Amino acid sequence: MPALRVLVADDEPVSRALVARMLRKEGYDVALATDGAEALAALTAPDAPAMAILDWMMPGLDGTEVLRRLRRQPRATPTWVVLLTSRDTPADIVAGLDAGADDYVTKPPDEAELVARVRVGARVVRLQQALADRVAHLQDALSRVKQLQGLLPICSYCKRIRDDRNYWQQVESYIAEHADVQFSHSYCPDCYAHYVEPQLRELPSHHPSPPGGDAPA
Amino acid sequence: MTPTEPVLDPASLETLRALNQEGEPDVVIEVLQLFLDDAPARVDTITAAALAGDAVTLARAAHGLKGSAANIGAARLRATCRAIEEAGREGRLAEARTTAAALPAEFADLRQAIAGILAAG
Repeated sequence: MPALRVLVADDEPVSRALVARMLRKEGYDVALATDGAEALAALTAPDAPAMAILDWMMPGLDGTEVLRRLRRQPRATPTWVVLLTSRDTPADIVAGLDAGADDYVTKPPDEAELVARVRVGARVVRLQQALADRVAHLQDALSRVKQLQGLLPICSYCKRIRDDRNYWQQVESYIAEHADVQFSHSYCPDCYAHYVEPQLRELPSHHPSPPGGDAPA
Repeated sequence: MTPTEPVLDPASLETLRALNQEGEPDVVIEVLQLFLDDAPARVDTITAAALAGDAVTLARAAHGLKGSAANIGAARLRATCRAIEEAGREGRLAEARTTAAALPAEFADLRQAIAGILAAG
């Protein structure tokens, strides 16, 4: 499993360095941002980290403003954001969570607590990624099922099927292309009597075998 | 602000030291150096804002320096910054100015304590 990427955004260099150390020690891949605007740019980039530790009090865009703007953009797997703050009154905590934070840690951060909270986030992020992968897999399967629905134009005589590129295919190659099905060729009792037995009779030494066996390759 | 608070709390430095890892520079030295690079500008901002009577800038800058100080265990500076921040936020400018006047001397003490640790390596 690759290391999860975590963005650490703090304008204060000492705090930024310490939080980065705490996370690197736990094996996370740490990216840094020195203010809110930089953090928002990193979190909305195509290869955005899955988690972020955002300082609340940053010049320009503060942590809650970064969160509000980030949350306006829908994503398959939302970024897990821990707000880092020295504001610890219940009203502050409510305001931080309401702005879109998933969790908060008070400053200066205690290593064990920060790491434990980030671990909770990592669990959620992994779960979301697994669910998103599953949904993508199911959507793929569903789209293939849909390809097999509806009317199939079939030739009345040779039983070939016309595909959407106007090409006439054998039934088995059409099905194999549109579904996870492989054909194993055999013959039914009627066709055995009608086609196979006359051929066998024409052979010099003929040892008839019962119908149902696989045809020679 | 209590004068009994240590300039630099040894227990905090021990906690920092626990973050050390093989192959990375010493965390205490790195963090103290970052503090020395960053803090003087914040001290200047606080002093200037106190003189100018700019309570908003004063409270914000004091808040930032308080956080830095807390991270390295600079307990006395942290307490002073907290007092400045609260006075600034509540508009008690005269008190904020008096407290801020003590800041440069306190920072000088702290700088000396840090220099001792950095020199010892």
